[in-house]
Amino acid sequence: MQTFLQFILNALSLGSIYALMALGLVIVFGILRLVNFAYGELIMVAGYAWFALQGPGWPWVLLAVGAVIAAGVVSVLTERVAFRPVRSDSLNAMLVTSFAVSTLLQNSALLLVSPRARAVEVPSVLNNSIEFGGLRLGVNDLVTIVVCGAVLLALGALLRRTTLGIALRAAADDFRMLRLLGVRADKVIATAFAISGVLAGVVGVLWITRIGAVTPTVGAAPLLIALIAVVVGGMNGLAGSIVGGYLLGTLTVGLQLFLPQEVLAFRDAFIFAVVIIVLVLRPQGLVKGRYSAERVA
Amino acid sequence: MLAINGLQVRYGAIVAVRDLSLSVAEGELVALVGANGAGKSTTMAAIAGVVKPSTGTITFLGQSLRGRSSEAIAGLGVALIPEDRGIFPSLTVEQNLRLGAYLRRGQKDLGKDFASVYRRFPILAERAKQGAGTLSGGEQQQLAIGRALLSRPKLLMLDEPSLGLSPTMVDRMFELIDELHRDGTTILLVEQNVRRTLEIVDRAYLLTNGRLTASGTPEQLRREVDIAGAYMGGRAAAAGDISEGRTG
Repeated sequence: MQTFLQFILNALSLGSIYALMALGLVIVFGILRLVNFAYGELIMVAGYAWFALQGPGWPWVLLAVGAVIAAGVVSVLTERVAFRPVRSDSLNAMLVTSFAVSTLLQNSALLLVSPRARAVEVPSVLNNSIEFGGLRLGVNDLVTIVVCGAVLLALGALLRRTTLGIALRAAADDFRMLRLLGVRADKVIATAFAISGVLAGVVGVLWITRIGAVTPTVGAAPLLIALIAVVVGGMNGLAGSIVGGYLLGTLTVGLQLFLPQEVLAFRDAFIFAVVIIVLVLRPQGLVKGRYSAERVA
Repeated sequence: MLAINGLQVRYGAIVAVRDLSLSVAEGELVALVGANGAGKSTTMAAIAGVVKPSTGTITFLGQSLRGRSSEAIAGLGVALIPEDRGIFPSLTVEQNLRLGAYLRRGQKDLGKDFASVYRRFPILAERAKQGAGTLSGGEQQQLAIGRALLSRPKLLMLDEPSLGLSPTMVDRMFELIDELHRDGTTILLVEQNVRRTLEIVDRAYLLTNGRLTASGTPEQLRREVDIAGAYMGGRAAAAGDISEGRTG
């Protein structure tokens, strides 16, 4: 029983990080049909922002907020500078652009900081754990679950209640019609990138405080995870990416916990095997979405 | 209000509309009629900025629409209800309407306009919180029109509003367009149902293979019925539609 509760907690914690990762990727995809390969680098930006801000001994919350803002700003900047000029060209042009942005950001980190890992100061409370009825609850996991839950709720409210949020969902349905109603395409797309960047920032903070260090390639793993979660969950809706994220998190924790010691090194191989099985049985992903195949010029 | 001069639109090598000139005056109800593929929808799409004309001018209230984005054209007061109605299925009915009022967000009299849309289309009030994707074809068309009206358009363009609707709903649609016209809305209408259309419009343009082949008041068009019938694919039905006039 205790093992099981421990497992649930860890799965929820990792799953909610994965869900946010996937959401940030799919919110841009839903509107532009673009898989933004520079998404991982936004997570990296958050990490370096934390690293840059940590000197003067500011409160952790301030560092976290700074890191999230940095990722959001960089995301919007990449849209304005790199993606907008090629938006009316082919989808391939945007895809290649996203690779270019990714490389550019990574190399900037290499040049400006260092190719070697930089340690980030992690709040020591995060490493504590609370004993509760024989259960060891990691503060880190609890914070992750609470933060991700709050972000999901806030995002849900934004998309349901605000006009801009409603416009974002409408853009994924039928962008041409949205423009016919007078909503500026640039504004909607910039908003999508801003949300994507903020999500990457939150993920970045949670991810980097888990690892304790930031490197120029720190975003590669989260990008891959987000991609898998999105594909498994279904690329055509926000719900799919959340489902995919939690599923992948649960799977990872489950295998970690229950695989015999001698095959534990092959954990990821097992994960991918499950992913392949899911895709063979349900190529459209677990959650059926509604996004059309159209793309805005 | 709207003036089109020498308009040509191409899709690659295909010329969808060639050398088209037409005008719509304020308060008028004008129809574009013609067979499938005659270029009616393309003309509307060009006005709304969805497709870019290769030559020709489009002026609306004295301003050239060339090179403007569709959101900018909407901002000038042109509303297009496309043939597929453009309902957002992921949103509720109410959220769809809210986006219709996007250009007027923050205005005080918006609540009054919402109330008047709900009064005109009671079914929308009933289904306000329901997903728009669950509406029937006729309900979706009402939603599309209600949504367009909320932007208080200076020019309302309707592309085949009666398409795919039940006969009673078609009646209702033509009544509604007539009503909106009487209320003073300037309307450009594309319709397949020529007979019904000629009953309510002030003037009509007949398009054939992207060219203007006849224009004038419904009476004038009915007089030119042979020409019209021939151009409309020589279909007796189409010619019959026009000559039958009000009866039938």
